[in-house]
Amino acid sequence: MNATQVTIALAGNPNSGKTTLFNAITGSQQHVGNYPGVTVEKKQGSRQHDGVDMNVVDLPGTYSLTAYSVEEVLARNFILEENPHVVVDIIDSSNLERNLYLATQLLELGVPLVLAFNMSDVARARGYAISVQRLSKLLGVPIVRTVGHRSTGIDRLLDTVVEVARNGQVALERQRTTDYGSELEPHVEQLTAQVAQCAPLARHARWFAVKLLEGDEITAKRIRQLCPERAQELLTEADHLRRHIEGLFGDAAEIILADRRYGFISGACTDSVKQTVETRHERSDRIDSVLLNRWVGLPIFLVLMYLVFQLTFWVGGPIVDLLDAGKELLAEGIRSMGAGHGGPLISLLADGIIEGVGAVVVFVPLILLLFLGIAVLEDSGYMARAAFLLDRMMHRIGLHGKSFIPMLIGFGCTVPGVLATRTLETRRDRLTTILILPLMSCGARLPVYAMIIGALFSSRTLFYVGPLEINNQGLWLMGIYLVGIVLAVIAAKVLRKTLLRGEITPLVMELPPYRMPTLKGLAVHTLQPTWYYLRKAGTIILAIVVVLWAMKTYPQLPETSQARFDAQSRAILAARSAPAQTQAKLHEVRLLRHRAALQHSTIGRVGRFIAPAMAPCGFDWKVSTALLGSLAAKEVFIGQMGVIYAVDTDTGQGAQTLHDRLASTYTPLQGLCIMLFILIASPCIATVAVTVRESGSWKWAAFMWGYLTLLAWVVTAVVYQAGTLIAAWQAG
Amino acid sequence: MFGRPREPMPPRPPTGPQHQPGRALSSAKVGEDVKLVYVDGGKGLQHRLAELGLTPGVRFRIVAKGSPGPFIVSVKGARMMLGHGMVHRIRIASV
Repeated sequence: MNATQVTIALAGNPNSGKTTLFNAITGSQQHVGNYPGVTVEKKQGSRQHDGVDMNVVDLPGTYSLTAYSVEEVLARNFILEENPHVVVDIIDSSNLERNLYLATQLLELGVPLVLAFNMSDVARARGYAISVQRLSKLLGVPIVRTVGHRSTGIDRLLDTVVEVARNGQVALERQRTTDYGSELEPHVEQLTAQVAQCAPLARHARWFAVKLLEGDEITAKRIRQLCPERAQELLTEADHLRRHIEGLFGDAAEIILADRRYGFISGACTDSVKQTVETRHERSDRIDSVLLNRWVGLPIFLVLMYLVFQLTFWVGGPIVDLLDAGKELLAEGIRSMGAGHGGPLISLLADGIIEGVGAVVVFVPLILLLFLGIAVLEDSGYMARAAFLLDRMMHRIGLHGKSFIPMLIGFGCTVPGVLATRTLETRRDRLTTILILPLMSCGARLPVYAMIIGALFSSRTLFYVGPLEINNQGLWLMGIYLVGIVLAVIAAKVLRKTLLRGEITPLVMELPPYRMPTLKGLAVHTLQPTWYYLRKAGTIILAIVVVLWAMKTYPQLPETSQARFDAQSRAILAARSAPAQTQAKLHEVRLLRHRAALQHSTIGRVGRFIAPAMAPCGFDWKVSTALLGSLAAKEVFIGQMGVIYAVDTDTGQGAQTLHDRLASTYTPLQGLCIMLFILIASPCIATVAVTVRESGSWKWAAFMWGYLTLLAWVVTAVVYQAGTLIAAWQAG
Repeated sequence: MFGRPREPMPPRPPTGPQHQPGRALSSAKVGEDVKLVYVDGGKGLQHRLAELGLTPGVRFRIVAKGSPGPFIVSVKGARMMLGHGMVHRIRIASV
């Protein structure tokens, strides 16, 4: 072994403080990638200690090394294939027995192991007295106490790791594995000996033997690959033993083995752990008696969610407006720099990239704050409980309790909602949630609703509830949101019955004690997903924005039309009217010019082209063109409509004019249809981008886009046709 | 011997769906100590629960009976929340 370059793997339960410890060890020298083929993150970092260069890999948090989740498979495969010099199992000391289960599996894997008894401050506070020496002797493994969030014990841990790395073989021989009892142990040893006869398997022979006894498919496959001649013999023997065990105990072999491991752990702990004071969980229990109360629990949850959103928009809103203004300034600056030499590059920069990508970047404060709010609730331990509050309700729809949080986030912005589906364990649950997520009407669509409702549904007070005035406009808005939710429920049910069939994964989760979120933890859980949003959504949006810009700009107005507008402008200047009047007239000419350009461009032509297809929905070419523009981002719809109606939507005055124009052109029914279409159809490019990433393929993202757009068309067409019929019937 | 394993469990005859042993978990009272008799589910579910500490015969305590809200049990010193679908599948006996 090269004594100066080693690979260290960090393993441990979720919630054991592994990430914090990883960050403490590697500091800024870390980077995040992907395990090939899956969306689980691979975190690696480096650290130098005592002349040794360590490559530290943070394995996904797991409770065990069976094959129930992608994380578990990744963790064990990493150890089997990459052969790290040392594995550090990070243990939540206040939860010892459960956490040691993973340790027994790692011992069985036959890899040099060091245990980090993390959160030892919590354990002590809870009245646990753990004799680390005793336990260390019983397990044959060095144990170091650490307090991750205070970076205590790190140096000692690294000293121990380096020592074990330098003397791996000796360390291995000292390690003890689970004694499965007088009935089972002889069988395990026998099978182990048989497995060991295959050279490629010899190093981890016991692990393979035990896994075979558990009926582990992945192991069977691996044995067939590595040792084809003897594979069948081993598998048959294992199968025979499995049936023998089941006949003897009445339960499947893997369950007996799991039970034995806990017995082993229990025995070791009884000898080494004393609980001095029964202070466990008391404070958490008291908090839970309120937050999880039958009557008050759900309302409290709703209030907390509301607070998170309120805070996000209240604090973030002004910042977003600031950034938006800054973006406009930048765009204007570039335009004025380029005025005169004009040219497509300036336009691309100002109108395309800055507007398009800027629209996404400008949202960052909101995203950041939203993630912060969620991180606080999550790190404190509340979110885990919230998932259960909603579990029963979600169950009826065919969704997992944990789906609620992504859906709630989706009401703010779909992009982080998709990211939040990572907490769901199965791919099936994740996909179902992602596919219906865009129907949770996101914040970007709100300005569109506001505009249309304002223009087409005259305000009428319906009735009063106490001092609260119930206005029909508010009801329409709420109605749109409700339609989204109803459609989502239906879509979920349909998906569950067709493409994503299967039992709903039963919800089992460790109840984390309430913890005060640490600044470091919050920073990681907030900044990482935000950066992620910026990076990934940004790069794809950049590409699409460029494409859309091209479609909006080319083909350009023919020379003759350009000359005509130029002549108009010159005439206005020559007329020498009052400056204010001149400016207003010039402005109008400019707007008319923009509108002509839009009609002439690719996107304008496409809008006209698809207009007949959109007619059943009650849309003319103008609406269709604007909808095309909103493919990139929903907010664009208003801007596009503005251009089409040759109004300037940026100045307040302009917006009112658009208001009037809309009111005089479209019926309320058409307004409703526009809103429905915006609600249901084509999630924005950013959403598609993250869906591609989270689902791992273009297929699902394309499907999502397709089914939503189709659904939008169908629903809108039905509503429009039905509405028209009703109107005719009423009139007739 | 490092860590004394418990006594081997007495052989249990396999039980079929019509012959549900024990009583439903939902019938337990808050604060009650019970032991796990049977998990009505596939081997996958049984194994997964076993790995989290819910092995056959294990003693655990009912901490809370949500509705809405999680059903919380304390197993091996760890608190586990059980979802709606789970509670119905777990059969227990008194200790």
